Amino acid sequence: DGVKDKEHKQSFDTSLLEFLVCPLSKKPLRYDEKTNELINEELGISYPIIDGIPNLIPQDARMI
Amino acid sequence: LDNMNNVFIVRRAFSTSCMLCPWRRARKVVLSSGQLAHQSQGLVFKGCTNFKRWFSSRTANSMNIFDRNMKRRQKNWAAALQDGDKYHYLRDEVGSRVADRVFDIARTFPLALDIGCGASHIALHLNKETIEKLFLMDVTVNALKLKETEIPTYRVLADEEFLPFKENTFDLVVSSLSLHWINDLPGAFRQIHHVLKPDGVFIGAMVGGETLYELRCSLQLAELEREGGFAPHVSPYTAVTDLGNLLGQAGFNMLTVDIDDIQVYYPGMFEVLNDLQGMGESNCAWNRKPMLHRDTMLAAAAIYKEMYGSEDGSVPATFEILYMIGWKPHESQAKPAKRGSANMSFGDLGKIIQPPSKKQ
Repeated sequence: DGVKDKEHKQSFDTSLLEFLVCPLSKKPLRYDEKTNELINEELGISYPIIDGIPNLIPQDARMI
Repeated sequence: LDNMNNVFIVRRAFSTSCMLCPWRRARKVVLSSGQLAHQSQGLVFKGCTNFKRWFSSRTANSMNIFDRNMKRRQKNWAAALQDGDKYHYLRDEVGSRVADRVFDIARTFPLALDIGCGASHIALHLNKETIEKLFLMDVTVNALKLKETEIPTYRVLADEEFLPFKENTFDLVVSSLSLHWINDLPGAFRQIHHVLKPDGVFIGAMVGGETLYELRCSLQLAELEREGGFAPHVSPYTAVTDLGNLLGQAGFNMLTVDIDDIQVYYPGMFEVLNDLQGMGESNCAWNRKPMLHRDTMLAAAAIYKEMYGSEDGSVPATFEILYMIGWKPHESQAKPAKRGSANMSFGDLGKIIQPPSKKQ
């Protein structure tokens, strides 16, 4: 389980934002540190980040 | 079945249907009185020998063959297996062959993307001298966490049908054995083209053509015999002849498409099925049958062994791997000469003895 603990501490690398866009609108995303989510303001949806890995699967997005 | 003659007729009829690719709306489900009709009126087989074919009107966005959520669950399950490594043989092999093709290009790629990386099967065969940074992308978080590679990587959970990357981002996009579960393959190619930089290259491998034809035929024959009809258990694959056109339509140029047959020998049909499940390659077509009778399975296993088995009792499973290489156009790339710019007639070809460069 030692490996898992290490992964939990991983935080989101904000330099990724340079490359990532919303998979639906292809527009840039904003990182929200409080909720640890990637937000698309235009569509009003947010994508979760788990263990530092952004989840950009449209089905997993949350409506804000 | 009464005689071998029958068997071959059936095989021929099906090999025609196997050639159908997903975007031609291949859905064969109706099973009644020896007639097999496509849901989308694409094809009707009457009996075994005479079949008629109607071309259905093709409309955009009508392709929805695979249950993507189901596929994700299957892949997640497979990646979470304790002994999952033992099912990686095919992906490792194809991954290394894709990596070979990457090494063929004498370049260093500052930023690359692996679509449907699984347990980093390609990345493990690459090195950080060739790829400086790599994005690993898959639909299952379990797979993303499996292996560490020497290349600095970013991991992103995303769907192959919805790439979450900016335009003109990558110098190289690779993909190994994940594109065959995509509903909208032309769209996926367009998106890959979109995220590539000009003069960027896409190197992909997918199963296609006659992959698993032994399994397909055995199951179909067994089901016909035991249940009087059959449902598709092996998904429709892309034909190699369509692949070049698809890539061309998506905007790629300087295309290379080639096929590799990989035959794997198994003790029997059940081992084939078990391994496919372990690879996360179970059927996920929307019109899949929820269950297969044990009786039919046993019959299929017997047919498999009878028709394809080798002398030592093992049975082969064929995987036809289609490799594709396509470049995003850039002005620095080689182009055909302008029309009419030739200064020699083709009729004079026979008269040329020396190479043309010396003549000038």
